[in-house]
Amino acid sequence: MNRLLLFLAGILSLLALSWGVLVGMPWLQLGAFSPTSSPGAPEPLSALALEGSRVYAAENCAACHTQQIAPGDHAALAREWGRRATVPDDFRAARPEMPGQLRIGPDLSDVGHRRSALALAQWLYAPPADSAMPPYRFLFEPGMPGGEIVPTPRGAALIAYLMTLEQAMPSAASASAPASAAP
Amino acid sequence: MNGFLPSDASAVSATPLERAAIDASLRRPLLLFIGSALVWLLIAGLLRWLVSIEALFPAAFGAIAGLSYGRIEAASRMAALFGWAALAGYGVALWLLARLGGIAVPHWGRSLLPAAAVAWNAALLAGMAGILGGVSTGVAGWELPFRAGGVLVAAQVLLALFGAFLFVARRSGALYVSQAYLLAALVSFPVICGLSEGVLAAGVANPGAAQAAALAWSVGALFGLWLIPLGLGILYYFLPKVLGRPVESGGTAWFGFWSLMLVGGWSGASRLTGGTAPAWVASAGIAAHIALLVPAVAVAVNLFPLLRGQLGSLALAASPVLRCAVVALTAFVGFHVEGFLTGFRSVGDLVRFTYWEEARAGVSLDLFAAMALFGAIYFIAPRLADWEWPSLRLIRLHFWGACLGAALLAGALAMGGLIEGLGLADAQVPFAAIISLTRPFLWVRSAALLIMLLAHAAFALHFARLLLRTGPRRAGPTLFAVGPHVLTPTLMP
Repeated sequence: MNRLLLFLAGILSLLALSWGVLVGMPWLQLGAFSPTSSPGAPEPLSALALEGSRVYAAENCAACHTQQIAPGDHAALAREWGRRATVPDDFRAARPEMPGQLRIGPDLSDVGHRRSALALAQWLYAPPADSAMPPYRFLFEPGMPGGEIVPTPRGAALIAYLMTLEQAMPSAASASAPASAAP
Repeated sequence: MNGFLPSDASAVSATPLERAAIDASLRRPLLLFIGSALVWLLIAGLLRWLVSIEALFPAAFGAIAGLSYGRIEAASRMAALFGWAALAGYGVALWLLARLGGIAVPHWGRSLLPAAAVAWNAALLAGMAGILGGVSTGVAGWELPFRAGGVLVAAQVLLALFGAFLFVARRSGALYVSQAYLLAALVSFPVICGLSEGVLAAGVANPGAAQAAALAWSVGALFGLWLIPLGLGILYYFLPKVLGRPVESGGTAWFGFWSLMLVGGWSGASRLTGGTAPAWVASAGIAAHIALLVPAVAVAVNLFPLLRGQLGSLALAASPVLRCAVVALTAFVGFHVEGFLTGFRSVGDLVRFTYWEEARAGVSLDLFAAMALFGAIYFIAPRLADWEWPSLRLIRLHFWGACLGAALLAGALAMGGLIEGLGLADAQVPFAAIISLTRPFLWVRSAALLIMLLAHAAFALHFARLLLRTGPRRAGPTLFAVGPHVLTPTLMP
């Protein structure tokens, strides 16, 4: 029994060490920032946009789209996916943060700036032929007269959320953000 | 570490009658774990194949919400990790701990284990229905809705306590390295999942970039401290046992174990490279990725020498258990070498956000963990069912299909990822052109996943035939090369 306790203590201590350093310390470091510390930092999401972030999560948009542009990712900036590198304050409103791990579609860090709500609706309803994106017809009302595209409440919420994704915070502010020290 | 022995303690301390009693005590619960794991394996395989089809034909299921790309992609991952790998892992780990401890499961355990398996399956089914129905956390690796995840954590705690009981009640005082790996996996699993569920719940109320560090840690720890120890516990048991040889060094085995425990929880932070977490967090993750080569080398120098002189031998040719274990061991070393190389920023930056990430996950899940589990099930299931595998043809079909499919999948995605990475790094290449360039590899992925699905279906069918006791009663195990000359004592049950 004593041997088991010693063994378990060793395992759990090493696990706690990695969690404490990699999770606890960044939480203390980043969590201390005031939400209004940087000019242009995202405002809390509206109720509609918050619902849209849940649709974004439920449809697993992060499976194909990132929301993070690394410092030095000049190709992403040249493709106009963003105006600057991502900083921690960009995720002030994220619930939860969904930065994504694959780019099967373009990065969405600044999609609210580079696309209109109408363009996003058209894209979700019928993506271009050269895109890998599937159409999300079920987010739109079926059988509208004259082929009109009318989003369902979930579709409207998703578009509202996507429109909040913009890098309004200027580069100067991002450069001075205390923990933006991306590698 | 005193008491280290290379293989099955019960082979030394328990009589055949006692071993039969241990198997009988575990028969119903573990066949339930393994049987339901195989159902999840097929569900995961089907969903993964549908994902690959939808990647080639994006409009294929556009009108059906429950079959949208994002939902089935998340559901396939949950089915593979928490359905197949977790349930099969529990089935194998509990059998090994009981056999190594030389104890039969008491009556209360025979009721508790099926209850845990039923609760697990019900929660996972509800969570999967939630994902396909449009309710998900949206966080890769932890998509199950909170309540389903909570039930799984409760079941994990229960099963970890049961694993600890098997360890405490063991008849031999010795501590085997395979026991240590399995116990570490059982204990780490609920801690990692519980912390992740907690972070997700807190994150909803407390938004911010620090969540990224927490979730990256949890994904890395899930592989480093659960899946890898589980696989290594299996390999450290079966390779010496089937080959009838001791491992090279007990000291090296324990060094490998503790060094994995030390760095296994850190590697996930490397996913934060270029992200919003503080730079030192990603740097620590990269350092851990490189340091993981240390336990990998310790395992390799201990287990590969067992195969010295065996590569052309009848034992390797004959035993499906051994073949699966060798594939798993090779994949284990391979993905740690890959982790070491991509730990260097110049290499890692090239393949970030590309299909390479999926190739890496495929190697660790399909070639390492799954092959280790298949090998273990080939050994364990006949003992639990008291019936030998009925068909050599189905074993052959499964082994080659699973191996070739997984290798093809990893190779295609790695190549596709490399090309995608080169394209993403060059702003002159239009994004649509990058997508077009990767399409041939996606065709190969789809074919590979179909091969794997058929192979896994053959395995599930074979398992069902084993339970139904079809075919003639065999005197010895079903081996690739059947003949009296290969039925050595180590290959015999």
